[in-house]
Amino acid sequence: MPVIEVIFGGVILGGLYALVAMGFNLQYGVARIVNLAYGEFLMTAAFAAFWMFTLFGVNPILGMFLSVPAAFGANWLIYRVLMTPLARRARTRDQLEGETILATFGLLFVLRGAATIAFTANDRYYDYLGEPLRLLGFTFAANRVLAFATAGVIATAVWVVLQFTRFGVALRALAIDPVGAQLVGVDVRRLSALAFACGGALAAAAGTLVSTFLSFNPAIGIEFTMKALVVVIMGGIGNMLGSLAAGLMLGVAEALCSYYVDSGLTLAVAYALFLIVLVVRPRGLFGTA
Amino acid sequence: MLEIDGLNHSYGRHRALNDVAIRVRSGEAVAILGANGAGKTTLLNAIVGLIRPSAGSIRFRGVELVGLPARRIVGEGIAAVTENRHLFGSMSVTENLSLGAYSRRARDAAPDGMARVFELFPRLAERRGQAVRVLSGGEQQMVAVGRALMTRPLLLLLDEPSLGLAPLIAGELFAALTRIVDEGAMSILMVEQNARRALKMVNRAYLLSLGRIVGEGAAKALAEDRAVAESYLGL
Ligand SMILES: Nc1ncnc2c1ncn2[C@@H]1O[C@H](COP(=O)(O)OP(=O)(O)OP(=O)(O)O)[C@@H](O)[C@H]1O
Ligand SMILES: [Mg+2]
Repeated sequence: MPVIEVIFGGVILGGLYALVAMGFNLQYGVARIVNLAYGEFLMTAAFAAFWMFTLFGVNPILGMFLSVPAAFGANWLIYRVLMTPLARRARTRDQLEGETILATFGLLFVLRGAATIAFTANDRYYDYLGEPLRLLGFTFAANRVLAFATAGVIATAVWVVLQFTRFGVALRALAIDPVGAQLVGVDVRRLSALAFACGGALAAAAGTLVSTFLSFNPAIGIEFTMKALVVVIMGGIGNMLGSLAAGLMLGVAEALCSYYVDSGLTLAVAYALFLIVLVVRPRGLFGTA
Repeated sequence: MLEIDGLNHSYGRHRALNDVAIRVRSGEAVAILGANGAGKTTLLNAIVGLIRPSAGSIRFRGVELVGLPARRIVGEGIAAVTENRHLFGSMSVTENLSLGAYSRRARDAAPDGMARVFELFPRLAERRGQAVRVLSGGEQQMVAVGRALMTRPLLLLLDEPSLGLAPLIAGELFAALTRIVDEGAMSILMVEQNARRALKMVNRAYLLSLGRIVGEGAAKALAEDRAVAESYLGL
């Protein structure tokens, strides 16, 4: 396999990491919640896609129109019920971060446990668009290409909303300076809840896409949460373009490592990359302030 | 227009505001003079809702503000340039200004408001696409004033707008503020260490010392008062 094909494979994986990280970044950067249960929403959506496909033959991409709004609603509720009391009580952002880490760590085990009881710990897999696709003279699995394209469309849409709409600009302002945001009339509680819900919706979209080309089980969540955290910190908290770039970087690094070294080392590569970036650029790839 | 009565605020055991009473009339510019630690910032933060006073009442056009969140107070028509400017550093000048027009009362007037800010501060027009964090302190203060104006305030609060600025740019800032005062379209309540400059601009001033109002008078009279000169004009 030529190196270019390996890199393309990495870009496809990286596009997905970027999407995963963007959702995490909305929850962390705007709502200031380090959601350790983030990956469990991704896992739940993967199972939802699996059951919809195997039981009713629902196309996973179309199934997202069901699972993504459901995840949005569920995450909004979680914010209102679980996180709002913490946000109200916290005196500082650091304190809020600390308390939400504990709360979402608990949520992680609840969701993972429930999924294990309901679905067993077995690896699941379904065959959707598995046939090879010739593209620019290279061969890829069609489902990977579709997952990448869908991730690209969603990530672009998120970026456009954040960059050009009143709602999106207010979210960015809130991520930068919550007091400044209040001084111009932004409703911090309401927008934090919406940002958290949007983050959960992106996790569900990413989970669905993952399920189309990787096998999964109730325990996959934590790995995605960790990768999201790594990508968000590399790209800069609250910086969506940073998440995109860092996600692609991670995908390519992992692909190169698993092809040339060992596929068991990809997680080690993720952390090595993370350490290198932090040593060279402590504020993230694009950090300045 | 703004009526503050019996305002008290304590940080733990430290009493920062003690039975403060203040009036600002419509179209009037009022200054609050006081030394470091007198409680000036505490007073302004209580008005905009960034802190909740321990006791007392703040009424604005008949509406009680104590207990309202900051975003509602903006909606009532009060804008603040706070001591720590709370700008959105990685966003451009234009984005910061448009965010000033976020609240419903200001939305429709945003294009006019932006033109007006650029007319008051031509420096900002030249730098409209730049990230606010790379601007000089004086330019950032202009963005802060501009963002506050974009909310279409009836009352503008300013916390030491010239603090730490080079004399030239402080002069530019004050010239713009004086124009706003002279137009009389909004009331201004400002806190300033530079009492001489402040008294030239405002109609009336209060003297705040250790959390208490210890004096009040027309700006002209205060500027000529020997005792005031000694404590606040640094003579
Ligand atoms: N968050 C806080 N916690 C405890 N004490 C505080 C706090 N903020 C202010 N103080 C104290 O309250 C008093 C009034 O502070 P304030 O900031 O209102 O004064 P100021 O007149 O604005 O002073 P300056 O001219 O230095 O800005 C000071 O003694 C200050 O130390
Ligand atoms: Mg002060």
